[in-house]
Amino acid sequence: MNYNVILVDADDSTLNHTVNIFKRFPNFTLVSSYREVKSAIGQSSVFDPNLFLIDIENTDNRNMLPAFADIFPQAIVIGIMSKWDADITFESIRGGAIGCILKPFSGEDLTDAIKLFSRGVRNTIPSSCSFFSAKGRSGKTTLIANLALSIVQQTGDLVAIIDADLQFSDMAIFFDVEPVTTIVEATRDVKFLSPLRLNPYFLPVADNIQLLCGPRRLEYSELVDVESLTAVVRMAQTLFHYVLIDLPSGLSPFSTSMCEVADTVFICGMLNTNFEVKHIKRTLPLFEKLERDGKKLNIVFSRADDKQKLEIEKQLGHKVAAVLPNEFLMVSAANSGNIKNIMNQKNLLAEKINKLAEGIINHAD
Amino acid sequence: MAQGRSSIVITVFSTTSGIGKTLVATNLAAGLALDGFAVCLIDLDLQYGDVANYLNLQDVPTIADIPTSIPANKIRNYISEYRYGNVAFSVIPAPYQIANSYNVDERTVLSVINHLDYFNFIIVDTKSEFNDMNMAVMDVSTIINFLCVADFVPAIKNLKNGYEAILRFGYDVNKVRPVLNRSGSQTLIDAEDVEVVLGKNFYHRLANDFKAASDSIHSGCPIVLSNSNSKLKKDIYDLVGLYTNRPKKAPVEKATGNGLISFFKRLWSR
Repeated sequence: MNYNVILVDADDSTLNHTVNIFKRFPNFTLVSSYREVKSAIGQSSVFDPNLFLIDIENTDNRNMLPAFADIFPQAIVIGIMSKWDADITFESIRGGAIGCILKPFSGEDLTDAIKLFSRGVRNTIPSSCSFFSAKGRSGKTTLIANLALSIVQQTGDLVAIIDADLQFSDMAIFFDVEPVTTIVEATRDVKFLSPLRLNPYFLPVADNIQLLCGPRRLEYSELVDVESLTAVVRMAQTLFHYVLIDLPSGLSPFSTSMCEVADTVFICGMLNTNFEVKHIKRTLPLFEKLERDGKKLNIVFSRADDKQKLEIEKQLGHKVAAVLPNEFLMVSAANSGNIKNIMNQKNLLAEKINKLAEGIINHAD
Repeated sequence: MAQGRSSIVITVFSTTSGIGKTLVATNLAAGLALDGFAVCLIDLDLQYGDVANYLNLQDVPTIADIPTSIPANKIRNYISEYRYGNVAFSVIPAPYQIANSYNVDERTVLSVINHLDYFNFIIVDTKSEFNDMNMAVMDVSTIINFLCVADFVPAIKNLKNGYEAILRFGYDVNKVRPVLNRSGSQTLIDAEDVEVVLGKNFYHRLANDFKAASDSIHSGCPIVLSNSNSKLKKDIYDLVGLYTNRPKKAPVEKATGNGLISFFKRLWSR
């Protein structure tokens, strides 16, 4: 595809650089450039642009991004910045940019960025969910894998799963893949990465689903720190439409930070002895605080039916988003790494998960 | 190191939670008490421990109530008794409030374990995680009862990784005893295959009996003390026997925890 590019950047060196790199990429034509965003908005239409590169470190430029989307609906906007900043990137994506790249960029970077940021059907603002459980065996990993499949089925958007259950990560087994790069390398390198460079750390595990695998070895979990993991998650949130984060069980600096960084927190439990409800009740005040601060809180119980749901809600004093039936098919699918087929079948579990996924999708719209 | 202490410390650990650690820990304590030993059960799943729930203990002191530098002669003030019929054992539950779990550190717990040296056995229930607390307790344990299941491939992968990690951490292979829970449950995975994956045979196997386990938990009475006819009861009691070198025999129906033998054993233990 050929691109009529308009550059909006007050820095002359960016203009010179862009002119130079486009010499080697004939499908990119720099049709015009502007130092001020106001001029770009007013004058660009005569050049029939289909790609804007806009310096998003400039506040005025960021504020005008929605206007570009209105006036040039056929064009794509990529933010350019000299230093990675997650907040600025978020603001720009919410304003209408499809993603951001770092300066100085190469022609290959630009080609890759267009390809990468145009994946799926980006008609939503990025959305992320963290999945907390008081104890293990809550059905959390099963839920995440199936929610990812359901979101892709329903939207065609791009979903990332981050396996931050650092000691006992098993999402790779659910999708029957062998980890290559993992969360250990991503967190180690994050200071030197941009969304474009972070993408290869994610392993494609199904159509439009990519996984950042947990550590290959249990001891490597020690190499992951909260700050770097938060940076990876925040970068991933600008690269994918949906980011689902699997957490270690229990409260820890990791789980609380990951819940703070997500838009929606799922509290997962499996109804075995009924003490699980008691544990979640004890934990709930911490999460209700997040809920009051604007986060969406979804409580999900596995191995429960609708009758038990009412009882659980009564005990918790909080609405339960869903109860999931015990589906033997799911256990055998996870055992065989064949989980992808479950959501294609008609069963109560798939039905309930599709509904939960709808909730995530609607929240993002 | 397990030197300098006479009591046997058995830590019940796993890399998967929800597979019966607390059930095994409470029943080990009950079974040992049934055999007449002086036993103390400590719950170190500090945020979400279930020992108090499984034994229906309420409003008793928890591990978080024990002062950091408690003198040995004061420890008894923080120990509660679980009693069923004539059988009794001591319990230190996990905190009731999550916030209080942050007040418990390894130093205090190790000091508590040292002060509990007048017990024959100290059973420690843990959270399924390699954390500083668990590692400190595993260091001073005589035995690590490494609980396994053979029902779910992701869990088996974690068991293998966890078992190998424990050995890499330098624990003696004889100290770590893989015990299979829910043996014979209807899964497509053979226990023998899990043994091949672990590279070690199970030290013991506990039968799968969801109903017996569930009834026991809800009644607040460990299976080994109940009148259940479950194979699980026999298997757990056999496991207790493996830790006491008890000659093989059926469990006594009538509890004898306060009998004459028990009296001498307690006397000896002091």
